Amino acid sequence: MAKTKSERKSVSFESREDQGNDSDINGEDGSGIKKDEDTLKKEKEEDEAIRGSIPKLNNSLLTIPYHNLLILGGMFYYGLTENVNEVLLNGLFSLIPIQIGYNYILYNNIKIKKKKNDNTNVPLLIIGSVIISLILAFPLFVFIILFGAPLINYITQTILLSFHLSIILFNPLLIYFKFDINNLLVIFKANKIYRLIFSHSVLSSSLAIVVGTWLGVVPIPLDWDRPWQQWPITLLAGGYIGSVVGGIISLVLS
Amino acid sequence: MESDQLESSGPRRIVKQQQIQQQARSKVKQQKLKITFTGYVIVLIFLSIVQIIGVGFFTRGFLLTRNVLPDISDCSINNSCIPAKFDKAVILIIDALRFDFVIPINDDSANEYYHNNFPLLYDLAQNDNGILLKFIADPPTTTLQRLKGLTTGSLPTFIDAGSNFDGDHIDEDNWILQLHKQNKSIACMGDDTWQALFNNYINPQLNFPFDSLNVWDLHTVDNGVIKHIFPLLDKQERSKWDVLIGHFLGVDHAGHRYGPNHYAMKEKLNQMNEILLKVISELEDNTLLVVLGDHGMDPTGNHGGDSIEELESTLFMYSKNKKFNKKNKSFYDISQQGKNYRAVNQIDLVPTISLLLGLPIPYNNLGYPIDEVFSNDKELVEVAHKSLQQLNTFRSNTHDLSSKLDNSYNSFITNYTEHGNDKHHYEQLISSAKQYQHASLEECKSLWATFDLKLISIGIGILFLSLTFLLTYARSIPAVRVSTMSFEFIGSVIAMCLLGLVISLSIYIVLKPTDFSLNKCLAIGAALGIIIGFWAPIMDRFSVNWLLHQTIDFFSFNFNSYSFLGLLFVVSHGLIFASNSFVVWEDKMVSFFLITFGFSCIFGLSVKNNITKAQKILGLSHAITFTLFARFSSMINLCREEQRPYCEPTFISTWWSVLLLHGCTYILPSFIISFYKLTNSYHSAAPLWIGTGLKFLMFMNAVHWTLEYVHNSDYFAGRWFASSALLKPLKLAIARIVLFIALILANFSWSKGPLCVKLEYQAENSGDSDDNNGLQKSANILGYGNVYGSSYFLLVLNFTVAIMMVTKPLGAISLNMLIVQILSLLELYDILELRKNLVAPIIFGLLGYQNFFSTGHQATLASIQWEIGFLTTETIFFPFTHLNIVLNTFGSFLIISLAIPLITLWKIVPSNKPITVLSQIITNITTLLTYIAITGLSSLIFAAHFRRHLMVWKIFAPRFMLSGLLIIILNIFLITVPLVFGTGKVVTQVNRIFGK
Repeated sequence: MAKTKSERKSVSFESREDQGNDSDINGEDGSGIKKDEDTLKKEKEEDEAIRGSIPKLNNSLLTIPYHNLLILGGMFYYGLTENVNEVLLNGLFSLIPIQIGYNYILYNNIKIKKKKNDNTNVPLLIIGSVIISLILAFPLFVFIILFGAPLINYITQTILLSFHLSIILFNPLLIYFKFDINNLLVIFKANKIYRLIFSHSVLSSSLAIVVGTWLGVVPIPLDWDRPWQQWPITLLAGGYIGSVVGGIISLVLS
Repeated sequence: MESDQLESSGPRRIVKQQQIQQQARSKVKQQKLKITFTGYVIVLIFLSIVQIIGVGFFTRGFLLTRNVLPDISDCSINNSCIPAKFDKAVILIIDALRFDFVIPINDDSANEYYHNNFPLLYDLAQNDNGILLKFIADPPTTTLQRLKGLTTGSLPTFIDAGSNFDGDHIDEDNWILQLHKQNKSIACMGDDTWQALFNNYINPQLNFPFDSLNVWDLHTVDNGVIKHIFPLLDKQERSKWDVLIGHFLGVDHAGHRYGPNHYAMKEKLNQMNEILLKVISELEDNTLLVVLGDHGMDPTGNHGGDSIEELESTLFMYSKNKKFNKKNKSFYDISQQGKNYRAVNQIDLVPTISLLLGLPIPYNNLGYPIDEVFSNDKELVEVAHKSLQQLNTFRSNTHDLSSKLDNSYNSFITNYTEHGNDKHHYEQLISSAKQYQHASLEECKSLWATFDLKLISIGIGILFLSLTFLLTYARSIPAVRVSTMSFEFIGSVIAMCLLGLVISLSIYIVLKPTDFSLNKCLAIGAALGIIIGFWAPIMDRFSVNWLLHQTIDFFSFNFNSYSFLGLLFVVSHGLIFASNSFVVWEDKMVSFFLITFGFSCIFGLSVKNNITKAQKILGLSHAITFTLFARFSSMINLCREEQRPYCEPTFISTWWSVLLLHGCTYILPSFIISFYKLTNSYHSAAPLWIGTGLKFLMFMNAVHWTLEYVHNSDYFAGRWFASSALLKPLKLAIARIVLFIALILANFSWSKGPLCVKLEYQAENSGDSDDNNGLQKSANILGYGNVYGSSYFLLVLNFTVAIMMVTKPLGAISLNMLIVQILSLLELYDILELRKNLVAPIIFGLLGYQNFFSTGHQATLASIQWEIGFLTTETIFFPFTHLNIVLNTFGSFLIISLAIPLITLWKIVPSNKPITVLSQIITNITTLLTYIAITGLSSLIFAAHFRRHLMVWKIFAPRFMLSGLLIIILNIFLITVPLVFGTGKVVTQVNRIFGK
């Protein structure tokens, strides 16, 4: 496009490489460009198609991860604030079996599109998802460190935090999409992505875990000197509470 | 040079007439561009004037300054001394000793931990050998400010005008200095604040300072004092000192750590009781013992503010052979936790001690001697005379103080000379002297120690109004419309400004407001006039409704996740000033925001569909670079006091940081070159600037800091090259050469217009052309795709090199990363189409903040790197010393403001609508200014709101000063360098060469 422009010059200007976004800078004046109705309609249709490709739940009331609150409360009850590492580890060991049970409920709640014989190996799916999410804890750990977690001092706590978050975040998603990442990526092609996310309990709960953990850092710097302000309790609580809140939001919205 | 070639190589076949027409057209266009440009600049200048006036008003109201008179009192003048009553004195300071800790509390309110655990002082004061008084501190109740008050007798203000570069050192006349002047030997042990304040006066053999900042350590300081005090009280050692000062910190630290309601406090108070008992048993007969607290503590154990618990401290004086002249018993009433107990001001101690030890009263003293110390009325009249003399000398040499007390002084003096020896007049003389001192103190307090709320609110109001306009100007009105409105603005602004000046002048003349000077009236008039002048054309053209719709449109159509992030960052950055903890941890918060943005970019790129795979990979690598570098630079930090013990300072010059600096000499240029090569722009000026200039100057910089390291390191100490006389001149020379080349030579050459393009001729068969010439020579311009950006970026490099020079090694490494981050960000903006998004300049602003922290700064006065001032000169030399410090402190902000126009200019081909390009740049500049103004205004508002907060002088006031300075410096700098010098040059030049 820029080439045609340059050809009009008396000397044939040509740059070797990408000529940049000339149109980006010229032309419209930066204020809102209203989309006409046709494109709106088209976008809506696209979104509908994507919506169709995402699995649905029979009863999203059941699939809200209530057990997360239980585990969080349990960890506080057993002295999370006094003995962070040990309680986090024990919490993790109790989280995994409960999560397996939740996985089973979640799996049974997914509407099966084609009524054909569904030859999914359910135990493999569930156990595999737990193992994969445990493995995914390591990239998550790097992610948390990059976000500014203390590098050396609290490394055990950070590792345990990433295990917890990884299980509550990735495990439901893995079950929901049956290990198929392409099914997940399809969401990002949607035009109204947030509407789409909030209409699916599992998706909105995952988003809320991320947001909750992000917001979890807010109370840390306050000088209240409370035991629960220590690393990484606030992030953990943010994530756990987020998972339930996200589920409820989607329930309320839909 | 390049441009001449281009123009002369134009083909001849175009009809001449056409050529002339085109020339005329392009001339008109250039003229138009020039006019628009001037319009913008003038509008921005007016805007910055309003903001600077606002900041000025606030500062005037908030930071009340006091002139410190450098004069030193002397006994020979006015015969102002009386013979010493004591040969020696032991002065023990028990930090944070609140008054109710030392008196017996027998009712229900008694607390088992902090009451009745330190009975010794009260018991001793029951005899005439001792006296116990309530001791009232002047806020702020921080140890440093209190020690200044306790030794100089003056009131504290935040900035003592005339204070020198050496932060804490005391300039004023004080009794420690007077002791030193009389060749007395002063022993000092405990809190190292004493050393910071009085290092020159303390006997170096008897100086035992201990770190005072570690509030978690209850015992080190106290044990240190105990260890050194008793040997010195011993008979053989007594002759070594005349005055012994011991400062215990245990009670204060117990308060900070646990609060008073804790058994640690009980243990501490019991320990103090024991130690004092022992000290008294070893005391000589003619030695005065003074035990005092410098301030109290609030119920949580902290201090700094002005609540009663923080102000009420203890003063105890004791002597074995002298009796104190006590008043009636009813003055010393211990009921209701000593509510009605006789109280004296802390500054009263200053004339008291001076007179007792036979010293002249310090020149700036405002206090009055304590009655009980002097044995009879005759003596009291004499000291009243001495202290009034001193007060009057001080007042007559201070311009701010009115002369309304002169009459009472004169009448006192006449009375004194007439009836000075008449017993019946004693009482009247003493009371009139006290009245005089009281009136004088009140006047000084109202002048120096109270906030001027009127000025504060005017400042906030003006800033708020200018912010509303800035916001509308930057974001609500479309950039293109704005470009045509400049001259409407200018006309109405000048008219309204003049009108405002005239009105305020007439108000001043007619109404004669008592509390506003003419200058202030005029400034208010001008500021309001300018704001009205700005709003008038907007309201004329658009309505409020329209602006509202514009905002709604923005949110419904132009709003995406990135804009949301931008708004989120600005709003939360504005809100952090509501809490002292967040201000303390601002550095972490800023990098958290930046990393969040980095990850959003990574995420946004990986799910973006409408770009090629190559672009995606390139973009991802840029985003990852950005994020990683943000994390790395967040690891370079200088902890402020409040961040301890959760923060480990890393901003230390080490051998590896110097080595890294050498590495960066090669790494950074190669990084920049690779970015230039992406757009094929590494031609003509670029190799000279980046390949040669940058590399050479960065190498010199690294050499300079290597020498500096060698000079200071223990390892090299004693080697011939470390102590060589050549080292210092060599360092000075390198610094001067680098700064001269970077700031003057390079900028001058840049103004002559280097472009990073290259012509490449190639023969091309163009059979279908009209002329049928067959073979046609065509020229390719390499670097055409980034013609503005590649040239402009060289200007950024000029300043960056200069700023790196005045930054310590680790900071310079962080600046290296900043440059790469800026380039990555520009590429990201290009790929993610964020050029016009409001997040773009905001991320630059955040980068500025992050690098402010990672170049070893904090929003505290203590973190200003004064030593950098002496990089190019050996003594303070205006303007070089000051320039260095400004470059060092605000360097990161200067770099990012320089890079702001690049958001628009990077990677675009020469536009045939230069005015549009210009208006985009203005939008970005004003958006950055809006961001700075929002955070600035918020920090001003909260500093004013928390003016009674105990941390105001440690946290909020320094932060407000940073914001205020940022508003001023960025307004001035953004208009002059990036806009007028940089953009003006690049856009007009490119337009001249490539424009049609």
